[in-house]
Amino acid sequence: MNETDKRKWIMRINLTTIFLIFTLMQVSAASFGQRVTFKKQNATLENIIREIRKQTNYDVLIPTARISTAVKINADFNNATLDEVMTKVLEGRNLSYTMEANMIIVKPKEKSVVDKVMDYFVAIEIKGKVTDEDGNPIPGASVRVKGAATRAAVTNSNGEFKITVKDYQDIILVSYVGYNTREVKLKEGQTTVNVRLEMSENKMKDVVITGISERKKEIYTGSSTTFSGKDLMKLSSSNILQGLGLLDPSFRIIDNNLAGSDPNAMPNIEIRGSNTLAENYPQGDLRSSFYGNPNLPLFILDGFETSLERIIDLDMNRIESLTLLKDGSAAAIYGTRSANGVVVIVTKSPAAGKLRATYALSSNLVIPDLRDYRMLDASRLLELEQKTGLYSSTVMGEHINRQDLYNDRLGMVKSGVNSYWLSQPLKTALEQRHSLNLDGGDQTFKYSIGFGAAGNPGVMKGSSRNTYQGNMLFHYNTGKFLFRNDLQITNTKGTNSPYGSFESYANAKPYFAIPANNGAESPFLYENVSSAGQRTAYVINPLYDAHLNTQSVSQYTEIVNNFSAEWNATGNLRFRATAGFSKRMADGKQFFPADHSRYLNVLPSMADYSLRGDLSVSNTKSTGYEGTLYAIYSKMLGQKHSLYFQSGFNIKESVSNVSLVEAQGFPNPKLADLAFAKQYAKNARPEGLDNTSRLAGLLAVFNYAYDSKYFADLSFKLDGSSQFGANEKFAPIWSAGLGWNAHREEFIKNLDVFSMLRLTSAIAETASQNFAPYQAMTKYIYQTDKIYDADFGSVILGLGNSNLKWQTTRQKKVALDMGLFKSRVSINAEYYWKNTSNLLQNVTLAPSTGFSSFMDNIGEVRNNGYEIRVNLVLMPGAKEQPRVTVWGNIGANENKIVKISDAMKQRNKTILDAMQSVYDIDRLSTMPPNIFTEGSSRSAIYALPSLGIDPATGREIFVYRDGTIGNDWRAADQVVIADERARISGGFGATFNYKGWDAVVAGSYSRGGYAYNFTLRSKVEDIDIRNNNVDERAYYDKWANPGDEAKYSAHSFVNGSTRVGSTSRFVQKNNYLTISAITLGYSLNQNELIKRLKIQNLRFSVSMNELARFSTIAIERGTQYPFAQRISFGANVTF
Amino acid sequence: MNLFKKVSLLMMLGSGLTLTACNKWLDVQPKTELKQEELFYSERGFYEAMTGAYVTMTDNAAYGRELTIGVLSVMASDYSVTSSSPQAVEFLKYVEVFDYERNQFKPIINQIWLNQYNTIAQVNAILENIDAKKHLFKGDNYSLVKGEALALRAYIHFDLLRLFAPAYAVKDGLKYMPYVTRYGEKPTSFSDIETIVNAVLKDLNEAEVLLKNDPVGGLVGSDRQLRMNLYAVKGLKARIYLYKGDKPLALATAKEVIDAKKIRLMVSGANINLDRTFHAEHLFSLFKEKHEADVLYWLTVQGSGAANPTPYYYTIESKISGNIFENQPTDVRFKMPMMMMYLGNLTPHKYLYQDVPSSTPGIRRSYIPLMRISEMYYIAAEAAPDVTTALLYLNPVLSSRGLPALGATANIQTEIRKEYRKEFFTEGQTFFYYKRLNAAHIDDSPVTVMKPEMYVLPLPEDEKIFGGR
Repeated sequence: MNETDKRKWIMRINLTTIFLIFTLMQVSAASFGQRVTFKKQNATLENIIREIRKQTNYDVLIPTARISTAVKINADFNNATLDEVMTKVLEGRNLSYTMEANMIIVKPKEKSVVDKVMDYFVAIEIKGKVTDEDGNPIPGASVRVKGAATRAAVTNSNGEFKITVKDYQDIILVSYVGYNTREVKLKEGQTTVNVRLEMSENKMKDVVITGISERKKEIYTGSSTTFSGKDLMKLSSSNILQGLGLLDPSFRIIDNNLAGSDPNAMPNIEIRGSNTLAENYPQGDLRSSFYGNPNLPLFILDGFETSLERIIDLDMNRIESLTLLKDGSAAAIYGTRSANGVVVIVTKSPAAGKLRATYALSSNLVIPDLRDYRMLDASRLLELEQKTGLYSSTVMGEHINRQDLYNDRLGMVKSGVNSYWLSQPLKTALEQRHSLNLDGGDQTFKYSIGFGAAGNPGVMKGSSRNTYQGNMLFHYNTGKFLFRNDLQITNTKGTNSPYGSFESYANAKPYFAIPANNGAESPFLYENVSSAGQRTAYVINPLYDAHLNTQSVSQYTEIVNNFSAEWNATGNLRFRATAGFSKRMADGKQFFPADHSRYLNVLPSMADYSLRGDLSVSNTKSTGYEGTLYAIYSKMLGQKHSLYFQSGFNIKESVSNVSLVEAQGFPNPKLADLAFAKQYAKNARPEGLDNTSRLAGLLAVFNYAYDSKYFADLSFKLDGSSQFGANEKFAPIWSAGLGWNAHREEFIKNLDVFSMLRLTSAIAETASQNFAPYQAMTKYIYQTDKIYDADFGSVILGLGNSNLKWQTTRQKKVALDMGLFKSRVSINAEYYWKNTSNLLQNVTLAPSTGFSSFMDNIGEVRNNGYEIRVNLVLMPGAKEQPRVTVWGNIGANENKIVKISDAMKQRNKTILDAMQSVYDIDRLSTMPPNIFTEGSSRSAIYALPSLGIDPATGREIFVYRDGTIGNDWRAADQVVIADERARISGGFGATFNYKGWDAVVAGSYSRGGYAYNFTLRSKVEDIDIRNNNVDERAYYDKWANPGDEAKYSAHSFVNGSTRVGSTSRFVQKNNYLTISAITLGYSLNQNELIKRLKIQNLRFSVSMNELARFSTIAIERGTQYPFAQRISFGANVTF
Repeated sequence: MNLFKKVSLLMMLGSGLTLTACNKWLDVQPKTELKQEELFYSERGFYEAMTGAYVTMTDNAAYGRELTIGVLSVMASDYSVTSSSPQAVEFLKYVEVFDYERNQFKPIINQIWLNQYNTIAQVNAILENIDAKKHLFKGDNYSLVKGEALALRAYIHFDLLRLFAPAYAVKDGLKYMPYVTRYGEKPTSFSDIETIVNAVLKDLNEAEVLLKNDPVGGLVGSDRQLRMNLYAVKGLKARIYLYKGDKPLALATAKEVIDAKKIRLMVSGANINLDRTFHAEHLFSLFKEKHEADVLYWLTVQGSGAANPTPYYYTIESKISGNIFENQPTDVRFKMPMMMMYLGNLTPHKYLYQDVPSSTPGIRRSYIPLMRISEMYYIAAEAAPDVTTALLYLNPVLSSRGLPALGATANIQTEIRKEYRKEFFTEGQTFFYYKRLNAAHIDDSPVTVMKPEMYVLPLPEDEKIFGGR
């Protein structure tokens, strides 16, 4: 063996068996001859080698790892040959050696059959336990000896295993789905091995769960990201989606400044911008119970479509993973439901083993967040009131009256009354979530039963959302067949606070003392009754109604049964069928008792007095079923060609109907039941609405990959829907994508930088059909309130459009996924183009057709943007070392309305005309109009450009479209001032793991978005100081005297003269940064005490949400319901 | 591989089958509304659709308000706009002077146009489907429904012509509006006055044949006077002939209606307390359940907060008694209970019964008369070749209304003009009378000289833009 040969040989060993370490020994030059004399009891290998080196001129090349230095032999060599020495040393060690030149090379002995048989009997038993990162035992994990297929074991329900190795050179491999496989080296004499598996980020990157099938990520061209339920839980304690917004910038939860942290308000979500111009139906419109937000993504829970509400109410502990299908290529398999993206949620599967019980408790302290409110205190308010002339008059008698009022109020202030009304309807709430899960079974038959109860009281007193859920899952797997049945029952009751809108507390004046009994004492804070007993002036006590039996409750019970069967026909061909059935019963109730403040002005002398009290009851029943049948074929042709083919069809039907009845005249406030009503509400009749929609689709998916280097995806879906026009029943949806795994190319490999470098590009045509079910039809409605003599007439409701189609969204993207430096750095970057055409809109018709408009596919919206996600592993977390990763992401989306219908333009004009009339005739302030214009964003803020307040007159100066300036507010001259949506937004964070500890810090940011600061409008500028408290800025920053360079116009008492039309002055930059979550967890699983208690695992965690927020805009957040911060304590125990 | 082929073949086959079955399955039936195909599945459905068309006519944008008590009566100067409520003044001052381009007036015109054509669309939907479903009908019902539909289409088109085109006398050959005979989103091309009139007459002639067995005045079934019945068709023809200036035909047709004696003038001195629109005299009227409540709202006080509340549609007392009813105390149309002081104002009680206990049986409220037998007498009188013949027709109406008979010296045309004002007060037909004659002045109107274009409502903008006019 020459020098270069030797090097190669060494190198190869180095590369292939990293456990081999080479010891190179020099033989002393002083001695010669090839014989060794050495005698020593219990000589170590080291001793012997040293002697060989000393006494001969031979080097010894030896894989020390295979020869335990601990082994001792009795050396008794007397002028022994090297052969004799080596034979003796290697005795019983399955090793042989060769001598070349002056080198002894030790290598594994070729095994004889006898040796192999012997191996089997000569075995060392190793016991151990496999746990996850948090120390939870992992049952069903596979444990085997590397290179010895016969030696394998599976962990039991406690995660324990027994395995035999033939010697300590054996390497134990531990693997489990979803976790990184670990190789464990044994130490000489070791008998127990505890293995902790890390949740495999790679696994999540390995497989894409589309909800219809599982696809290999490496050769998949769609854009998707997968997160584990556990990671998401660490980011938010309120609901699973909150954390998603931090991890993936394509998923945006739109701020809801009205509803704040109301537990009963559903979030508004967009994936990569909004595709429609359709508006949400307002609250109270029956239609809103069917067609919520047309921009919502599709939610798939364990393969079946579900509602956003159901996801929000879902027990977080049950969630295994959540996958976002973001682009057309990934989502196209969902056909006409795909354009808004898809959120695929998979719940946990039961683990085989002994019955195991897992109990999770989460206890969250929800603390109202009032940091954005800056209301005046009693003395400053009174001072401001006096300054504005509230207590003076030019009429003498009146002046005296007002002065009396002032003195009265001053007296209250002097006596120390300074009520903090904001906190009155609020409390620090304690959320409790319990989740108990039992699972077990053997490899063939597994089951799990889960119970969950969540009590989520909101920060406003009396508001809550309580959910009870149970599920039963059976899993039967014969190897060839797999059956799974999941039965879920959920009951949720949402109660709105009887305290009403939070706004009324922001408005309440601090110099009024809070009436006794927390406000129950009197409906008035102030009341002036004339000598005739007439109530002339009064201020309502907002707390009063809360002490009555005011109710606003909605609840639903949902039963879902999902069944799936899989047949593994051959190794390559599988069939899968699913059938799901769901039933949902929902009802809502709203009750205002007769004493409610809304009836204060109905006097006993009035006819309507007996009609006080109002109850409205709504009832919704929905049933639905869904079925799929798919065949999946995958095969490797030769070494390099991999094929994947999936085909099948699905059907879905949902039927729901809602009815609403309103009754009035409830004598007893306690009796909030229809049976106690005096009559149905005046001029009202029972309302009802139904919705039947059906969907049937055919799917074909094809994937080809060459050597895992080059790959292509094709998919085609033909969806038929009852919502389309009679001539356009079937929508063809398709996608095509190409990808290149550059990291598999030699020249990239040689760079030794990229562990992954993947380039994908795809184009897809997706569609959405989130619209009213019957609008394609010509329908008649019975005019039951217009009897014609004795007949009912049926009247055409609108012109149907039998050519009505789905909205088409053409999506294109290019994406680059990179892993650098052994995946220490990973970067995902993507650019996308989304163009939605055939937008469903009203199209103006020649009115001589008999109809002013009808629904047609006109209009176009574009969403272009990019997303970059970066993940850095600062410390990889080798044994006994901390693991630290930081991550950050950025997302940008630009929305543009390309084309709108003429009807939409007319709608704009109507809105602007109405605004002008509100301003001029009703003399009220206006908010930016909700109009759409071509070329601007859907979320553009329209207002009149303003030059600010004229220091000379205190009046605002506007700039009109023609460039002239003036003081008059003109609705028609409003232009786009800014966009509400952020230009860029995203999340960032860091995770830390060390021994049993884990910690997460995460935040989000938003930049380039604007907001119309309505606080400035209603609490500073157009203040109603007679009735409401105001913001501090009204006290300090308003114009008073000529020459004042003020931000806000002067106060005036002439009714409505301080009204302010939507102005660019109030459009402010809304950049913010929030610290969304800090979570700290600790798992105990090796603790003696815990073992003695038969606890397999115990984990505690504490987290804080919405900790801090830094913003460029001072605006009241959560006007009708305040925002909240949370501190959560979690415990998780498995027996 | 073999298995795979078989399976995929099977699946494709299955898919193909599913697709065809699918189309049917995807056709869903709403529950709170009715699909057109479902409605036209029975005789009853057609009948209900026809009723729906009449209901649509009672909308405020049509005969429920604007084409009767609303703008048409304002334009005929039935009201004293300047003395009405401030809100009314804001809107009606432009109507009164035919200032059609005003924002206060224009939307109303657009609504009238849309609502009228909407009724036509509903009728066309019936006509497009009825022939294929003829077998569903029993007895004469097919002829009745189809005849009504054709006649109603003619009626609405004729009223549209009277509003949006100049008087027939002008006959400028220009195209003013479409005669729409099909249902759908495609606009119909415009026609000139002559073509429209001919189309109207064609539909009416066809209807007349279909309605030959019309059980008007019969005791069974619904009130035929509330539908386009045979005499409404004939009456409308008489109206059109006169509008065209074809006096002999007008006379002959009006005479036909009068002589049929199915619908008669009421006897002088009859108790009109419970039937203030003289329903027995209606050739065609509409029924609007809430009409009285609406009219009460418009004719009485608006905005209770105002210092001196005045009605929206208000006529000062001197104008009603002097200018319109000529202080003739025997005229039943001017006497109690047709005119009453209500909330301090003299209020016409043609549509109001609030003075009668609501439990009183036999109150004929809710009727909106569109054509009465008296008009036939006026047409006959106007078309009569000589004064004697004219008086033969005019005097019975006067006598029925409690007025003295006219002598041979009377100016027939002036008397007819006065009668139109009295008879059709707040009914809208008065305006059409002036329009037909292209009258140079509308009595009591603040517009001293009527220009011919004032008689023509402008074509709605949307019609120009989206109909490609």
